[in-house]
Amino acid sequence: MIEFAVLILKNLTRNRMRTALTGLAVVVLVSVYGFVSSATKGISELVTTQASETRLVVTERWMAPSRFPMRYVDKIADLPEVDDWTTITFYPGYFDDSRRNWRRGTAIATRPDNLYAMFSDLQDLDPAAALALQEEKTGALIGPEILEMMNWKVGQRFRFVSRSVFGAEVPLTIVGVLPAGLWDRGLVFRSDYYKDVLGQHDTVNLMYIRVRDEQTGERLATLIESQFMRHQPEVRVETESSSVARFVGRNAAVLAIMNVVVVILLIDVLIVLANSISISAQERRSEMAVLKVIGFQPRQIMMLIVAEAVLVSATGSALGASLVYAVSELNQADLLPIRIGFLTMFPVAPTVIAQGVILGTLLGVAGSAVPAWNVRKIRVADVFSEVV
Amino acid sequence: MPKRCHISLQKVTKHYVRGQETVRVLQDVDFEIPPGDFIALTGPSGSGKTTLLNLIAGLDQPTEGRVVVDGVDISELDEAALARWRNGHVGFVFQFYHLVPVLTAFENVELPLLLLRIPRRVRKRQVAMVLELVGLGHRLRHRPGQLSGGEQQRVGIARAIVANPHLIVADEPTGDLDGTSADGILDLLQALHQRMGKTIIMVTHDPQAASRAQIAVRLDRGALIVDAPPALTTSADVPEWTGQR
Repeated sequence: MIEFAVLILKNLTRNRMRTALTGLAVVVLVSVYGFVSSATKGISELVTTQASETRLVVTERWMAPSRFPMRYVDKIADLPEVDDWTTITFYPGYFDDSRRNWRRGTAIATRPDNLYAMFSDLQDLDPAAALALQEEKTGALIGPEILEMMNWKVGQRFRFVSRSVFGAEVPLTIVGVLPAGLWDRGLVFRSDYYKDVLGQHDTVNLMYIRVRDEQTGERLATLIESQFMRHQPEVRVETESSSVARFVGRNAAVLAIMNVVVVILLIDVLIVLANSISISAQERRSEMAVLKVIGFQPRQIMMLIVAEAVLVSATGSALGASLVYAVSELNQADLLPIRIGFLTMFPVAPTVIAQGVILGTLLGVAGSAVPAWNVRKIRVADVFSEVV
Repeated sequence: MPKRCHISLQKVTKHYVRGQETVRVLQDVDFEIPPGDFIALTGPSGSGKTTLLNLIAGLDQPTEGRVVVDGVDISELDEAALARWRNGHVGFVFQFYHLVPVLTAFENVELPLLLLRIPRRVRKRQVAMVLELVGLGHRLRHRPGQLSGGEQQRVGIARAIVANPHLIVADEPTGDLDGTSADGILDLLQALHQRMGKTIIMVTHDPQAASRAQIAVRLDRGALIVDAPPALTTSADVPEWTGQR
């Protein structure tokens, strides 16, 4: 087939606009595929983290975002089967007072003394960092991406500026770095300091409870829910794993829609490709017949058509995948004018390039199958009787 | 030493079915062409000239009868075997040249050789030599669109002979050319016949072109009639195989 490379390449230059537009359709498809597959992979990784049956999550039953009174925490913590507990309060803000969009994040105020026991995804946290947070009331643990973006170092002081309350800010000292991955853009500081600085003692967003075993968890969940049933607000208690599953379930619907869009786009590009190759082959019927006359086998003529389609499709997909990967990398390095939060959460892996090329190749083969088969069946005598 | 090429058509019949109608193009044609002859096929439009040419060149299959070339019954070969056979045995010259427009003259002529597993260096040398032979040694890198009709036909002839076939079939090779260009092409075909011993079968409407052949064979209502061309003055000049002597 390499002998025919010149013929294949030059055939693609006949109608450059058509070739470029067909390639562009593949670029778009593979780009969308790259983003969606990264999101799907990211979400499934979230599910496979060590979500536990022995940790319970308490939230307000009906409202989102959840928020319930601090007095609930005291009552729940006093229950006999609660082995350990912590609270989570979300505090949205900016990493500096420039208030730029890509410098914003949500800090978590929590207890510093039981991080390993209460957060399944903090098992890789450096013990020195955990200890430093216990010792320094203004301490903060910060995600590696933020550290890089802001060009900060451990020991640095900064002010976390509130997004909702104008003028409110929390002075913090970086005492350690959070593990990479889910915590890339995280910021964790002490809940007691949060109360001192902002004077908010009344409510929390979530409460995590640790229990001895699964049965205890079920019993305790029922007990807590019934205890606060007639209170305002009511609470929901579920295991960490079912909470994650619920989160994933909510996102799964979105992902399913995105996957459907990708499939529709795939079919669409397949039709575009098949149509483009069909027109191109139809325009060259007499040339194909001449190739047959001079001795080309039907399968060789078929291969010429398939090779043209695969070349356009694989090149387009390699470009599309490389583009997506490059955008993701530039986004991670904060070199884009606008930071894309979606890509920050689900960065595109380099394997997407290989997947994109494979997808493009398969697309090329599928899109050219029918036109190639039709060309294979061309009868030379029929073509020349049309010509003359 | 030219390759041998004995062509034998035995009771060849060709019918086409068009809707409800069966068109009988050739009926029981018996015809022998000895190696090294230059035959002109003439006759009115629709008389079956091109059909006969296609059968001899292995581009079409007879409805009945046999087409035997050098002992091989090509009417029995399947499509792939026929393609292989054509590549090694037949060079085809078309009325409208049918060159690949995106390829240069050199690349067009090179096409048949791509199918033969010969070294690239040898291939390049052979193509250059053949283009030199047809008088286009200076037009190697030109595309068909940059060549005149006569030059394009010369490229077509170069493509037909580059794999050194023993049989050249030409369908109205001068039909789309002016008088001067047509003469040049006919000179070239004659030279291929006389100097290289090629067997040439040429379909033509043009009596001038037909006069360049050794024998003019007229097709009329599916039957063959052998005419003595102007160049042949006595019955002794008519080849024995025609049965007309």
